Amino acid sequence: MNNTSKILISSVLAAQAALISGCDDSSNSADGDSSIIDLGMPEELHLSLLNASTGAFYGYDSTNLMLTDINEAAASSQDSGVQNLQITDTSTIGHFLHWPDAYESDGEDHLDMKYLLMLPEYMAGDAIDADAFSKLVHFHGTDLAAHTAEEFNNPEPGSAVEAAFTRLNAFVAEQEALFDEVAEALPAGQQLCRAFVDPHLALEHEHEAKAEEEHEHGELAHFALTDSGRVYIFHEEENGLEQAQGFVKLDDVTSILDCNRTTVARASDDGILVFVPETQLLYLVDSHGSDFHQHATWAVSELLPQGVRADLIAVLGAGSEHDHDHE
Amino acid sequence: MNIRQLFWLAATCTWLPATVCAQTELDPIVVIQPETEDPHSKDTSELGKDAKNATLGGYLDNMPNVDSASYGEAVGRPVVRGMSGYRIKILHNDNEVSDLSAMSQDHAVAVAPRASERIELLKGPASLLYAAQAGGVVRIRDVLDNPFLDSGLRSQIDTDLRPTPYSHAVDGRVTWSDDDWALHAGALHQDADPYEAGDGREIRDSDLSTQQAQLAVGWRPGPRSEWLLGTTRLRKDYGIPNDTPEATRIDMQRDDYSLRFRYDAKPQWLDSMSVDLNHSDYLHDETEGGRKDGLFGQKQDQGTLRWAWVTAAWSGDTRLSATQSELRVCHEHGACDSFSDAARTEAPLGESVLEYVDNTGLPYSHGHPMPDTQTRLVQLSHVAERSLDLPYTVSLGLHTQWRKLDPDPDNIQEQWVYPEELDPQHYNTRNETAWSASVGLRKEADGSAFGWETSLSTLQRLPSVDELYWNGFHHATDSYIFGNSELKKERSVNVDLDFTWESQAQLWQLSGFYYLFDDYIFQNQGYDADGAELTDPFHLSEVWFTRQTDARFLGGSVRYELRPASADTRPWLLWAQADILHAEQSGGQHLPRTAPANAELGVRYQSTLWTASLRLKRVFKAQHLAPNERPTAGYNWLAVYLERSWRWDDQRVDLWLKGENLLDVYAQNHLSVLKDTAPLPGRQLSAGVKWRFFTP
Repeated sequence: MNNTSKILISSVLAAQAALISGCDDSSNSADGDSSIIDLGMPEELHLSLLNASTGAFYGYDSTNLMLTDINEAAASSQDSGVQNLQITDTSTIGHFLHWPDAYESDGEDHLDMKYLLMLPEYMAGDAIDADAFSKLVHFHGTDLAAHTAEEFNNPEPGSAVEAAFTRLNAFVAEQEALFDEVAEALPAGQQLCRAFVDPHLALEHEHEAKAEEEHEHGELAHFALTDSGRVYIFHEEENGLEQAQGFVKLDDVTSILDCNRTTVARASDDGILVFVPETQLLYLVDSHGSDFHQHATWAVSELLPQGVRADLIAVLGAGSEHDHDHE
Repeated sequence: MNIRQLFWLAATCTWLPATVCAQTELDPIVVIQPETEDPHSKDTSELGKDAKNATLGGYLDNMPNVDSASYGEAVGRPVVRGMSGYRIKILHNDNEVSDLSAMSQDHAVAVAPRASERIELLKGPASLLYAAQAGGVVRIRDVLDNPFLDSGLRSQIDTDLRPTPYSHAVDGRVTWSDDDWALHAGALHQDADPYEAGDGREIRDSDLSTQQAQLAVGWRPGPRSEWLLGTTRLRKDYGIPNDTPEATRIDMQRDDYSLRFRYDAKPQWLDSMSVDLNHSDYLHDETEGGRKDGLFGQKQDQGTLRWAWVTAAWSGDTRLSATQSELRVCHEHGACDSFSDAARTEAPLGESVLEYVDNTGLPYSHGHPMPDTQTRLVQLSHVAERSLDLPYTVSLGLHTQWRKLDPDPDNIQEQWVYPEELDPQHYNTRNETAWSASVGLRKEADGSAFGWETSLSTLQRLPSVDELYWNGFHHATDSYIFGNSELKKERSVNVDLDFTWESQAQLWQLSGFYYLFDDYIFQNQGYDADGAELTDPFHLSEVWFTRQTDARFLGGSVRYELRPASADTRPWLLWAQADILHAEQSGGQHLPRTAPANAELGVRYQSTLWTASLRLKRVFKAQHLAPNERPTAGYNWLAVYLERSWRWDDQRVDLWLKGENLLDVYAQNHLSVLKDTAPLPGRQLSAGVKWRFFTP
């Protein structure tokens, strides 16, 4: 990686971390209804946890350890972007689609982590327009905020919105290709649920490849979550994907019914965070220079108020390295 | 063991004294034993004067061939004649200390030595009354063992202070007793900041805090019977001075409740009889950065029946004890607030373990490293002694134990359970028996005579739960450890020899020992076929395997004391002492962490009002090393103790000053797993006051 690109990506990650913490501080001051919960998760992550039946919507900041009721924060906010976060109609809840929006601006690469709340009728892999989702969520400055789908109706040719749709659909197509590639590499009998490549690391590898420099992060891991709760790890070799190690079996997972409602997201440079609705567990699967393994699990019930269940979880942020020295 | 076998055991233990009784009833004699000081029993306050720290190992490591496996200032388990861990049994008022200090080097012994009255180190036949351990038995006794010792009101307050690094301790106890009742209360509080090594470096996370409270009540309904009810609560909170980025700490608590009945029979064959019931609840958590990564708990119930008997020729003790204990383990990152059973789905058990076997050939696991276990243990022991033609005495010891071990893997996550495909009997109940015997012969040193003592023992030790089942990362040693469920009993033949020659002005003590082990249980590092170190796939830590080998330990000590004549008293004492140990396995390779040779010179002045001592100990470089073990440099350790006493009719006050490592040298303990990150303390100066009050 050349120095310039490294600095740019690092600055994006650092900014994201600052935004996440800043957002929740803001939310806290807005409604005062936040609580501190320390589960020992990797820092610099924001989790949005949504109950599809009730519309209960919570945000958790792993840096300042605060859990915020997003609906309450939205209701009490004067900022329309924050107000747009509010869940008003549970019939529009399908699943989250994570979108690492990579774009170039003023000669610099940017990676803006976003997620969309897709409508129930949206089929994974289909092209996305304003009729496919209800909200697009990302950080506005220090606040987590949302755009409603209506803002994206009938984009003007050549507009920023149209460009964004182009990038979004390119990402969807890439994900489809990744899904097919990973599904093909899976051992017989394993059904792919979700395929994931860390967008931050992918961008760094891309820069390294362009600069023809040695990789500093090792090979780029391709993760595959199967519907039986196994996580396979592949590396890209000359003849395609090759399994890098034995699979990681996630605790207590028998079968996953709705893969769209699972989450696989970046936790840090070292690994990923996985959410499986059936177990209501968040899994940290990471590597300390060795095999990926299930490093830790956290029950969602320890984050959310009593009796609240999460059906969907979105994860934003770059994450910081977890302490790996001891178990 | 079935009922019939139990009955046989009970019959056996009653048969011997009954038979002897029948032989002696017609011709009773009264044996008056002179009140001689038991050479194996040491006054704790005397041991404390030379103790390097407040740990049990620190109190004992000035004794010949005794060392301390230290782990910072908070942890120090004694190592006796090269025997460590499970090869030493630690008793508190004759009940087994229900801690997990033998399991891992970072687990402290759950006792507070400074709050005790006496500490005994038993070996040979006498030790078999309590346990059959090659390293013997350490017997810690406090007021709860005998609150009726002296009628009247007795109280004691000890306090000490170390200004830099700051440390203070205070313990107080008050005991009142008359002919019928006894009451006792005691408390201890100790805090110590992180210490500094000889190079001036503060040792991070080496602080400790200890609290203990004791209560006891005794009742003597008649002249020959006595009831004692006592409880002890001990808490230790200490840092682990390792190299983890975040602070690693252990917070442990042990609660003991005991009920004892003693009966002193008429002087016939049954001399005395006692029944002890003890419940112990031990728990410690291990945190890193405040997160609970480990939780270890052991609940233990023990019942003991003991009777002392005497005949015309023999005197002895018989002891029958039954123990039930439950050990629970949690070892998962940030998820050990409490013990729990893992969820079970319809997925096959151990599929991740099998995956690693397929990929690496080894059953690596990243789950809880050990199953919960229930242990039932019955022990029966006899010790007996007979005077031959004076001054010779022969002693015998016999110890047998039956153990039922029930491992329950329900706490282990399903993918990390040891799969049946690898060993269908891995978690089967184990029923095992061990037999041990010892014979000793002693010639008393009387006046200027030459005395000696020797014992020959054949001992069997059952593998511990962790030696059998541990499969996972080990925090204390930063290594991955494979237990071995195929372990056999460890057997040893132990020969101990002690010679004493004493005159009015001089004393020579020469001790030697030779221990020969079959199936000695130890851990050694794993290597691949190319000779490269194996590392675990999760943390890239060294991989160690629990194995068995034949091994031998050979060592000895020599001590010389000179008491120069000085009028009627001999207040001066000069001494020299040296220890040496050699330990190797059958292939000739040295065993790890073998205590290096050491030699000590000392002088002591003791009068009615003053006590002063100066000791210089040379610990030589550790150079008999196990494969891949790094040597440890030698060092000189200079220590001083000064005490002034004031005495009145019913009170005594002692004011003392103490200095350890006065040369402020940088020193490492070769026996410590953390010798690099937790070297021995640099120069430490402390002072204290002890006040004792007694009114009949």
